[in-house]
Amino acid sequence: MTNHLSLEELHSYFDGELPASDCARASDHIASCAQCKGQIDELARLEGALSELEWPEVSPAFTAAVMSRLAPYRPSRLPAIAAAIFAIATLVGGTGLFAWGLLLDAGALSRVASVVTATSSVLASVARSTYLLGCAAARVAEGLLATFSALTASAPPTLQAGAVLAAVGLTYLLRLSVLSYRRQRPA
Amino acid sequence: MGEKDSQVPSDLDIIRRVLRGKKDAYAEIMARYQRAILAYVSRMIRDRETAMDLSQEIFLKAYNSLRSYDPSYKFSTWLYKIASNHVIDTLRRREPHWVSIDDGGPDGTHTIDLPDMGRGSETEAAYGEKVEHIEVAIRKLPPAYRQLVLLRHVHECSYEEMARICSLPLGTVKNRLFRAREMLKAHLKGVL
Repeated sequence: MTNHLSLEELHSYFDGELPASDCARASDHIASCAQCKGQIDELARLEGALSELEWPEVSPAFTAAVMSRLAPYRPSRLPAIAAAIFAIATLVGGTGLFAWGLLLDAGALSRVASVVTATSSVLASVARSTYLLGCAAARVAEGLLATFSALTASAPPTLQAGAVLAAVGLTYLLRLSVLSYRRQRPA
Repeated sequence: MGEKDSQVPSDLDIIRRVLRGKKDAYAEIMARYQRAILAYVSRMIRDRETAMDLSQEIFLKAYNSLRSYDPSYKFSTWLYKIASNHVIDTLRRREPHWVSIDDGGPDGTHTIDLPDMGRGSETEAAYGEKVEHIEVAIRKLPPAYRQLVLLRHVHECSYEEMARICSLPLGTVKNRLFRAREMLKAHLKGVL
């Protein structure tokens, strides 16, 4: 039998890495060539022998020795900082938009009074709930909802958008504060 | 490893916990890979004590580099890459006669006289005669070939994984692996 498979073809065939286009030809050749078939059988015996090699057992002292030399990672503060920047930007932007809306609106004063009342209500709620940040967040949300309701009647779109943005920013900031408080609380 | 099983946390889950400051979670990573790494290093470095030290250093290096781990590749591949670099660096430093694979004979084979460091040790005494022959034959391979044989046949890495671990082109990995297996077959004639 001439035109034996090259060494590379034999090994690739054995590893199942021969291109599909060459695989059928190699398969046909091996089936009819004792020499190439012998090479494949030898590779199979080698692989079988290598698979008998064992992995050593590892004592607990091995792990302990490594663990004792590790310093804990400090969690990255980047996401928290980015979130805080986003919240503050939203709050400032929303408040600015809100103020601009008030300036543009002729009947703004009466609504400012409503806003002041609602904000006072929010502040009172916050003061009462100093120890329970979660409850404070709920009260703030309520107050903001009331503020928003007072403004929505015949308010221009700028005013409404500003109020919504400010509310979202404030809520997000409060949420961050609560999460940060919980994270820092000792276990 | 266990990535399909929702009860068992994946390597990536554990790594994220470690990076969040849960240092103790790293013990689980070690439990998963320490035998494999020690097996690999022990066969690359003949001295068992040195192999233990190097394996510990590999886990320390991996821990300290965890932030650079790219989750688009298997964690084991990344760990073996660290192990491979560390072992090859050590061999180059400690063995002045470390033989380049380019120094092969005219028939493409390499024979290196290595002292049989493990002979007589309790571990090898427990091995069967055939397995001991294989261990000796592996030790006679140049390190650059030895690591490919180990990665492929003992640690079941794919060609692509071996290329990544050893920082070699795929074609070079195949070529060296084929030649390494031919050398092993020659060393093990009459044993297989």
